[in-house]
Amino acid sequence: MIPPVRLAVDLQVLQVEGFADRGIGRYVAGHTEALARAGRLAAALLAPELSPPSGLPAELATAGLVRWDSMGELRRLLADGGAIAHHVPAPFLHTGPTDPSVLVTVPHWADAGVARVVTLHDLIPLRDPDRYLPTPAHLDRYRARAAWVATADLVLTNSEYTRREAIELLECDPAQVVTVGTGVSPFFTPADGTDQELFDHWLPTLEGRPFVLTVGGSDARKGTERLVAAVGRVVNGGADVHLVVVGDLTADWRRRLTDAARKAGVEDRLVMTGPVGDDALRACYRRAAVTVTPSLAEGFGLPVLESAACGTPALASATTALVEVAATALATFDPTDTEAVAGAIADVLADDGRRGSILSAQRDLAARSTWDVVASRTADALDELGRSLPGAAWGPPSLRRRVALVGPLPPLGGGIGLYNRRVLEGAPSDVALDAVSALVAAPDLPEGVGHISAAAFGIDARPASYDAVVYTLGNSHGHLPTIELALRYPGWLWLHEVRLPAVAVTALSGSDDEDFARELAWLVERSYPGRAPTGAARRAGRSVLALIDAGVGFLPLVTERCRGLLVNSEVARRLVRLDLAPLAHHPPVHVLPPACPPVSPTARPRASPEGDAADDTVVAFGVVSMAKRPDLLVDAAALAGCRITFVGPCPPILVQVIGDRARARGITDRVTVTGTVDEDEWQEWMARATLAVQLRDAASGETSAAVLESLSAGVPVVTNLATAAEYGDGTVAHLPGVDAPAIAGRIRALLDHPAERHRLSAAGMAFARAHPFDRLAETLLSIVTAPEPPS
Amino acid sequence: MKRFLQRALGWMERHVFAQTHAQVSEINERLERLGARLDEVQAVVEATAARAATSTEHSLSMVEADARTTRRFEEIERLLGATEPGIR
Repeated sequence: MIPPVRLAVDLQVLQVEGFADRGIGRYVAGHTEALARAGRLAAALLAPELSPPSGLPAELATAGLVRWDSMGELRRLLADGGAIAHHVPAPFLHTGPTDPSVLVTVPHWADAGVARVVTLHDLIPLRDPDRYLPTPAHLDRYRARAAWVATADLVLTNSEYTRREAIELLECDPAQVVTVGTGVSPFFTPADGTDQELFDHWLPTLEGRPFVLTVGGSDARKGTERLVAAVGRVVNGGADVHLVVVGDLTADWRRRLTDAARKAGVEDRLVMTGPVGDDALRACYRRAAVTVTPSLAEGFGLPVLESAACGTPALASATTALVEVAATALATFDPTDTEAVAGAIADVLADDGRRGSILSAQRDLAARSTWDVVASRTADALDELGRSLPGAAWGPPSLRRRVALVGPLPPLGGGIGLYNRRVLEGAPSDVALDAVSALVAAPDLPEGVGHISAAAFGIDARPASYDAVVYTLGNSHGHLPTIELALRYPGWLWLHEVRLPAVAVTALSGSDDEDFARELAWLVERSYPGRAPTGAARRAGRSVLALIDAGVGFLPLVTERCRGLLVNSEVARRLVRLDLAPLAHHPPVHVLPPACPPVSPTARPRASPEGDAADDTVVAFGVVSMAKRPDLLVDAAALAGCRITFVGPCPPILVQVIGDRARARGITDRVTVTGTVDEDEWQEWMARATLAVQLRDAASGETSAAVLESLSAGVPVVTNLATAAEYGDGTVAHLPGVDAPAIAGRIRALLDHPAERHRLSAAGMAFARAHPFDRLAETLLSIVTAPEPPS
Repeated sequence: MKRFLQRALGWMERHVFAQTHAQVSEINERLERLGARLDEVQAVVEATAARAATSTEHSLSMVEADARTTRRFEEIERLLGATEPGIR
C-alpha cells in the first residue's frame, strides 16, 4: 500500500523577475498553498542560485515548508519516508539558448529516480515559433524542454485546451495528462466600498467614469491594439467609456497603444496604469463596466474569472482556453475582427440582461474554481500515480555521494593542479566525482571521474546537485575562475595558501598605478571594513610579500559565503583565524592530512649509516620565485661550500638575480638553474639530489608539494616551512626563520654526516608511505559529505 | 638600469671582497637595500609569469578566450558588491 503521494514543489518561478508577479507566479503560489492545506506538500523548494523569492506565501514560510533545494535537502526529504514526487510547476523557465536549463531539470531529483510531475500552462511558443522562438537555438532549446515535459510521469494542466495541446503537440499519453484547472484567489470579491479611497487616489481622472478594463502585456498576441480600435468604435457609436490597460508595458508598447488610440480618436480616453498590485487590480475589476480579454491565445485566462469574482462580467476571445473560461458563448467574440470586438462591448454595455447572464455563468464557474478544488483534483491524480507506478518507485533510492572538485588540473595549475589530479586518483569508488576546471577540452582523468568546463558549471551542471562542491585555491591569478565560481555557488574552500594578495596583484597587473591603487584600496576596505590597513597596503603597492606583511590576506572576501574551509596544516588554520574578522562567527576550518606520491616499492633510504663520500648535490625543487628566497640559498651554498641547483621553472629575471648573486659570492661554477624540466628529468634530479632545500620568506600557511615529493623519493629535506614542522620529529630538518648562516650550517652538517641523512631519508619515506593520497581523499570526502544542518 | 646596477654591484662586491672586511659589510648593506627592491622585482616577475601562462594557455587553445582575467576580476568584484567596473 503506497502512502499518499506528496509533492516536493519547485518554487523557483517566484525567484525569477518577470514571472513571479505574473499569472504563472500567482498560479504556483496559490496551488502550492492549497497543496499544503491538503496535506500533499512535502516541501516547497527554492533555488539557491537565484534571487530571494517574491510573493512567497507566508503560511508556507512560517510552517517551515520552504527549503533551499539541494542534494542534502533531497536526502533529508527522502529519508523522512513516505511517497514523494518532484513537482516542476513552471517547466518552461530558463529556455533561452544560454540559460541555466539545469535549474529546471534538477539533476539530483532526476538521479534519485523520484517520480516527476509537471504543470503545463500552455505551448503557445510551439504554435507560433516565429514570434516566440526567434532563432534555431531558441527553437531547439524549447523543443528539448518540451520533450522533457512529455516524459514526466504526470502532466497537470490548467485547462482542457492545454491538455489537448499536450496530447497533440507533445504526443503525451492521454492517461498521463490530467486537467486540474486554475484557482481564483479568494482575495477577489465583489465591491465592499473599502477600496474607494485607494482607487480615487490612484486613478483620480476615472472617478465616476465608466471604463473597459483589460489586463495587457507587451505582446501582440494579447490583442490590446485591436481592443483600443474597438473601444474607439464604441465611443464613436455614442458610448461614454474609457479604456484602462493594466500591466507592465515596454516604452515601445506604450507608444504603439498611444498611436492606436490617436488613430481611433480616443487618445484622451486611454489610461495605461503600468504594473499594479493585487489591491489596485481588484479595485479596477470592481469598478470596470466590463473586462475584456482579446488575446489570440491563452492557456487559461485568469482575468476573466477574477473579474467575475469581483462582480464584473468579462468578454473574451472565442479561442483556445478562453472559450472554457468565458463560461458562455454570449461572452465571446472573434478577436481578429475589430467590428466583432466593438459589437460585443457595445452589447454588454447596453443590455443589462446580457450582462446578468454572462456574469451569472462566470460567477458560477469562478465559485467552482478555487485553489482547494485544484489541490483536490491534484490529490486524485497523485493517488492514481501512486497506484500506477511500481512500489519500487516510491522506495528510498540509493544515491551515491556526489562531489565536484573545482580547480586547476595539469597541464595548468602547477603544484595544486597536480595535487588535484592525485586526489581524484585516490578517491574511493563509492563517490561520484566530477572535476571542474578552466580546461575546455576534457583532460586525461582517472576512470569514472567526469569533467565539466568551468564555463558550464551552473549552466549545464547544477552545483546544488552535489553533496559538496570543493574549490581548491592558491595565490595566483590562475585561480580567478575558481574564486568566481566559489562566490557564485558557495561550497567548501580548500585553501592551499591562506594569504591571497597575489590573486589581486597579478590580476591587476595590466592596470596603471592609479587604477591599481584604487581597486586594491576597495578590496582592502571590503575585506576589513572599518579597520582597513589602507596606508600599509598603499605603501606595499604591487609587492605581494609587503602586502602579506601589511596584514592583507583577503581571506574575508572568499570565506564570507562558504560552507567551510579546508587547510593543509594547523599552521594554516592559525593563520586563517588571524585574517578573518575578529570576535565574529566563522565557517568551520578542517585540517586535512598531507599527502605524498607513492613510494616506489624498490626505493631504499639514501646514504649509508656507515658513511659514504659526501656528494654535495643540493637541490631546490619547484617553481622559482622570490618568496622562496633563491638569493639566500646561493648565500647558504657559498657558506656551506656546496653546489646548489634550482630545478623547476624560473622566470628570466630570477635567473639573472641568481646569476648576479652567485657572481657576488664567487661561486658561479657551483650554481645551476635548469629551468622547466620534463617528468623524466625531474625524477632524475630527485634521484641525484643529496639534499633538498626548500625555503619560504612569508608565512602563507602553504604546504610544499616539492617537500612531500622529496619525502616520497627519500631525499632528505632542509626547510623553514612552518607546515613541515608538523610532520613529526625527524621527518625533515626544520629551521625556523630565514638565515643564510644557519641554513648553511645545517646543510654542511648533513653533507658531513651520512648517518643523519640516512635517518632523515628513512623517516621521510616512512612518512610518505603513511600519507598516501587515498587517505587524504577519504578524509576530504568524509568531511565534506557529512550531513549538513537543515536549511 | 636596475640590471646594470645589480651587475655593477656584483662586480664591485667581488673586488671589495678581496680587500677589507669593512668594505664587504658596506657592500652587503647595499645588497640588502637592493634586496628590499626585490619585492618590486617580484611583482614584475609574477606579472611576467602570469602573462606567460596566459600565452601558453592560448597557444594550447585549451582554455577560454583572453581578456578573461580582467573580465573575471570585474565579475568577482561585482559579486563582492562593486557597483560599477573601474570605480569600485
